[in-house]
Amino acid sequence: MNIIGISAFFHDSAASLIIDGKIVSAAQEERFSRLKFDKRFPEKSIEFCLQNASLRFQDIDAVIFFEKPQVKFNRIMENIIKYSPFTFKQYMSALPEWVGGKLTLRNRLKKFIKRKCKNWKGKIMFSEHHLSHAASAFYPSPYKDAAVVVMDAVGESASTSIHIGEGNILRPLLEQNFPHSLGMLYSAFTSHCGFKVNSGEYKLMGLAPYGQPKYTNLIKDHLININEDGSFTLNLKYFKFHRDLKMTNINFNKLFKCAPRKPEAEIDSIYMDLAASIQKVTEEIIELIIRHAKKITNKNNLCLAGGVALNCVANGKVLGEKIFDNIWVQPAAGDAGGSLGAALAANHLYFGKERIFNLDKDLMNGSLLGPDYTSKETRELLIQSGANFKEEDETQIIKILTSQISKGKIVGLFNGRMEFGPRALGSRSIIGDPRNKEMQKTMNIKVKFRESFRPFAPAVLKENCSEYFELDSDSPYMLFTAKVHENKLIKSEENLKTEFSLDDVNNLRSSIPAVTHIDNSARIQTVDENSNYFFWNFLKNFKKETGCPILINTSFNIRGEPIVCTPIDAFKCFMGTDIDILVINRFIMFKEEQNMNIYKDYKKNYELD
Amino acid sequence: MKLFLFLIYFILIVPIGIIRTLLGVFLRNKNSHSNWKIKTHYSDMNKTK
Repeated sequence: MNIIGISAFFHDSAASLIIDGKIVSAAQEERFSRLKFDKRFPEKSIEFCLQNASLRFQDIDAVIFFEKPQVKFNRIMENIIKYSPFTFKQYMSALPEWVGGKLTLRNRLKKFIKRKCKNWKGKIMFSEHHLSHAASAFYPSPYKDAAVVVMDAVGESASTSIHIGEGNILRPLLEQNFPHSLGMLYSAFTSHCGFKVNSGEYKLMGLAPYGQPKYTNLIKDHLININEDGSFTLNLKYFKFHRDLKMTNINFNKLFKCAPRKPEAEIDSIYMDLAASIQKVTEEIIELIIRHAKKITNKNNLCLAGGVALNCVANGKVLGEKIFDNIWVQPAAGDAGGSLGAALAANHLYFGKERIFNLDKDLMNGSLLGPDYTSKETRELLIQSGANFKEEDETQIIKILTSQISKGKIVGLFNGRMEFGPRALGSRSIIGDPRNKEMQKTMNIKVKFRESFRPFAPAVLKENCSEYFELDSDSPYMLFTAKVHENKLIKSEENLKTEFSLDDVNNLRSSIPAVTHIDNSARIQTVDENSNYFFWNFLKNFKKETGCPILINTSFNIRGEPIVCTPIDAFKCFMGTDIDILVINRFIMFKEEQNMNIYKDYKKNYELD
Repeated sequence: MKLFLFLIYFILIVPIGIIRTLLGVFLRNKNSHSNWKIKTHYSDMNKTK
């Protein structure tokens, strides 16, 4: 049975294909359209999924959309009525979009399919937003049974939900509804601190360690009423998102005695403190929700999904609390992953198919579910781009990269299938030496063109993880943070202080300074032989030559740009930044050997996120 | 289109909203020990609602 799952029209459109319960392909539309968080119908992603599996549309048995448009519309209209006459802007912005096509999604899907295949006999189906997330977390996990917790901004109406998964059955237990939403609360602070909603949340998380959680009591006394079972109620007196296009109102500014920060303005300490405070409150609520999930399900395993589950700092804390024996987080925990969950929900819950699972390994194939390019295709595309390249074997490439990285060079690495989800895991990554004290600054400013405070993640050989980090579980998808091991930290007066400024980012904190955040934490990716062989082999060789089993791994893109998808995207990004060497599968390119007149002013092509 | 939407908002939506708010004052649920709602099943995947 071949099922296509689709997520679209809100944020980060994507398509996924499963064949007889096996996850075959998945990709976000932004990677093909080159428009960050593209929310349009994922036509290109669907085409990729079909092409990758050598299928035509008539081979597809069902197409399933990740949420119920009618239910979502009802919630929006109820909200507009409830808070009228203050909802006029929201109404004028939402209505044309819904009337213009979202409401008649079934017809739109039919028309799209008819264009692809005139006599299509398959089914068009609609999952629920939180069911899609829950299914994306449970079915690919390596657990036979588990508690499943979904936390995001809002779907149709649910914002937080608890489910139970047993075999191929997933059942809902509890949910909390909009406007009482942890995602919305975090986004309100994201917006107030001058970052974009739906994309700047991870910047707020990165900013939090610079501040002091001075406002946690103020938040808990005024903004949110938290119950012991993890449920909560937002005090809407301070928010605007439920009735307007903005997140917070004047009462919010008065409460914290500060106006919203203007985008790109200097970051004052109050915004750092706000970031630290909301991060702490979020962690407390997540812990309560997860404790409640444990209490009502009595399972040993936990699966997480929804945008809030991308908060790897909170995930790390939950892991450390040992509420559950095992935790698995869907790597595409945001709405893109909903496409995969919808397809899996249709397969197991609607068609009743048995679950394929492996207790040792999840079914995500290391999240490497996107496009790949053959040597012939890569060669043709590189010639077309005007690249000057050499072809080498894998051993030689790894040897060159190890030697160049240890000399301080920065490498663009494009290898095999593209990752599904927001993290680059060694297939579309920029790589550097974590021991180099200048590397964080250089990579942030000259390569990524992004804010200097933002940390980089370490990719570490799985077997060496506990030598460097206080983490005793796997983290193959960079979804858990943990502290750098004490014996790797550098003890100095500078490093003992607890209040930081943005300049402290340059302090030498550990033997791997480029991946040690200001609070001595790191967002870890553990790499093993099975998840990404080339990357594992590369790390292994880097360790052999330098003694260090870690590399900096950041996504292959610049600020505001989707992660590169094709060899052409990779070559353009290489030429437009200070990346020194580019490797695309078995082809290697050195910056000094390229024609420097091509692809100037690269960063002007992308709007800042 | 914009004028039509404008009229619908002020002729229909705002009065319904006011009535709903007035009713809400009397019908408000003041239980604050938990905000969880029990959900027993997912809805039919064949339907958009």
